[in-house]
Amino acid sequence: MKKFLKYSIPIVLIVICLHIVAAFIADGRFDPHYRKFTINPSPSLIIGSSRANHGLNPDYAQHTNMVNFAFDAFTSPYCNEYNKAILDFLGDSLNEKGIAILEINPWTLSVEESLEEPLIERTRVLSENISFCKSPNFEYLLKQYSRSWGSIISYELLNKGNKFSHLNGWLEVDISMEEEEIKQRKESLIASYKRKSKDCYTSEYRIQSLLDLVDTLDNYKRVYLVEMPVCDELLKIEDTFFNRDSVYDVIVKKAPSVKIIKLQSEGLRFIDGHHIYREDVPIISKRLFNQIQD
Amino acid sequence: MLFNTLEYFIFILISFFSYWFLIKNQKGRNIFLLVVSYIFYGWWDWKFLGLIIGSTLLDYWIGLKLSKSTNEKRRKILLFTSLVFNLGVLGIFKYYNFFVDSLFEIFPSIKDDALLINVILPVGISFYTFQTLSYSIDVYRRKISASKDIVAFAAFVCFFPQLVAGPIERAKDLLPQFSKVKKFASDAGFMGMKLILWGLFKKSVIADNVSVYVDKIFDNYESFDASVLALGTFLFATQIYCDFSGYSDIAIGSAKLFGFDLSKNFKFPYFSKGIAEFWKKWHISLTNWFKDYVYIPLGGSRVSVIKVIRNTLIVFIISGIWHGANWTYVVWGVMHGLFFIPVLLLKAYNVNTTFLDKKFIAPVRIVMTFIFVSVLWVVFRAESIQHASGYLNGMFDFNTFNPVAILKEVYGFITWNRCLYIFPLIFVLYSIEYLNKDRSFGLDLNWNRGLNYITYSIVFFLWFFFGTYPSDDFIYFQF
Repeated sequence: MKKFLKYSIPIVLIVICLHIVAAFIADGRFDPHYRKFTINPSPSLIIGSSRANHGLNPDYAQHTNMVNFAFDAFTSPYCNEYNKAILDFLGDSLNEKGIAILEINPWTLSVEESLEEPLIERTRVLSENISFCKSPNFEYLLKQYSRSWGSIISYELLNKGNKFSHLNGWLEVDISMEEEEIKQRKESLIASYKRKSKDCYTSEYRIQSLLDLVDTLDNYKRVYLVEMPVCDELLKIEDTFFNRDSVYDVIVKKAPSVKIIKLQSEGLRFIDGHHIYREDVPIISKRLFNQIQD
Repeated sequence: MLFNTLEYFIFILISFFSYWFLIKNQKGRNIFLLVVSYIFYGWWDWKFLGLIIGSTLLDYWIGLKLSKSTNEKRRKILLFTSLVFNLGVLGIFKYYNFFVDSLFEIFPSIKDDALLINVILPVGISFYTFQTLSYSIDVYRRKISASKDIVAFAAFVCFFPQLVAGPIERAKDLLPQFSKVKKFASDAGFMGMKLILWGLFKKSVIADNVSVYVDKIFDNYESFDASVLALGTFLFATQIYCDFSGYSDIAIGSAKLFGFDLSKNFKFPYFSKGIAEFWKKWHISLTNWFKDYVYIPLGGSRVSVIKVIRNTLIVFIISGIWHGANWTYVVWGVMHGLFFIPVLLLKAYNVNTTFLDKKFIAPVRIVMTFIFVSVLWVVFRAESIQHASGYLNGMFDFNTFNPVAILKEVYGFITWNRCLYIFPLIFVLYSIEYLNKDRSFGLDLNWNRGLNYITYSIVFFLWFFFGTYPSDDFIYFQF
């Protein structure tokens, strides 16, 4: 046994040390969601899907500290889990004055019929009750990170990957803007969303979740519902199952204090048809924050 | 609790030290193993425990009664009870809905969803059911005597390393190990660590990384050319081997840390020179189980040719359906059976007889066998017969055969999906396995000491940097 322990204990210690080192190195590059679980809350925040996560940089919000707490349509459609996560994340900041930007789109307000239990999200990221505002967040790494922790080291130290989640929560995506590649990405996105749209329907549950959230945030914060621009082809697909006017009418009737802002696509480049290219993020962010100031 | 998680790492660390340092007598150690095995199994869902405890108690009681009884009729009834219970549980949980659904397809007029039952398949049910069944049958056949130690028997049924995906152990091999007073052997411990490392490499580095691309190709097979479908076939063959044999390696390695020897489940099956050899080297514990409890009782190969064909097909069909409640598994079993029969009838097992065979024909046979087995894996992986036939039709569509276009297609898929890094890893895997194919497992190295340590370190760092953690369950858990 002594001989075995003499060799195996150092190996076990190496394994443990490497994992601890990896956890402390963990930053915004290895996992697009990790940063949201380590940053501190602000009185103002951005909520929504990847369109807002990629497209809105809180640094351009003037006169207020803001963080981006948007994930993606799979992780953070409007639902009880997301609402609870937002409140957990905000903590005491919930009762501070600020701005809440709730990005809305057809996918986060609908459900897929084929899901056996449509109200249970496919992702466990938000339903695991992982604590927020902890760095390093061992709980997240243990429960959520599906690759080896060594990959954290390689991502962070070698600057691998094309996504970087900033300290304000904005997810910067550095991707080739070659015309052919954009075309391929767009075609693949349109094809998959077309397939998905056949199965989608507007969900009262999701709309109610959004209204509940507005109701909670409205006490201390100015709430804006924001629609991000998308390409025409995607817009057509979305119109097949989601009647914007009637849904927005319902929302405005039930939450008259909120303002709906529809952002336009002029002067913006998409990486795939609905995510805005990182270099154009300042344009759309300023466009939004100027409207809010007005 | 999956083997490739930090949870398991902590679990085995605590269990190991408690087992060897806190408990000194074997009875206490067996109780400890029983408790940690139930914790391990209950980690999925504690409700599953009821079934395994029920099965354990029944077979223990039947074993005792069988050993005491001399009345053949009574003994048959006891064996029958064990068979009905174990196969009944397996049938209800695993096959009931499949058979009812199949009936609905044949007779649509009787379709009634109320006849279907809503149950979750308990993890590893096919494995421990077969283990307890073999115990009852062996006691009935008087090949072993019944266990009189309920703790040792229960620990034998639910011994955590092999509980959910084998190897399917026989009572004669594993049960006596619970009675022996254990002394820790460093060599066995080192071997266990190496097995675990190699298993983690196969599972976390190869199988889980490859699975992403396999899923992509199989789920969208209609949009890919023959060459990419062939790539998907190769990748799935690699995935299933690494997934299952990786699991077995970790299982055998974990057992060694507690002083237990489990039986070997894989002997480098992809270096087989024929289908018969492949089945001697792939999932050995299941193949042997079917041989001993199905094939030989049916008469084996010492009967007429027609009966040999019948027996072989029965074994392969059962083997197919054992893997899952889907017609694809049945077809996969039948296809293997059909190709196995000529080998069996011609007794064409040994091919390495001459120098020419060994040096030139054997490599060709290895490649041919690998291709054949891989093509049949498509049927195994497919979600339905239509899916399998669509995939195979696409893969064998040689109308537009053009080597340059093929390379371009494959290159396009690899670069678009950024999966180039997988191929050097697969190369490392097969190279190490081929170089050590005469050893007990891939990382059982017999080179000089320095080279051994370098290889262990490389494999360790490949696991640490390229591995995945709580990825998909092991493929064989679903069976």
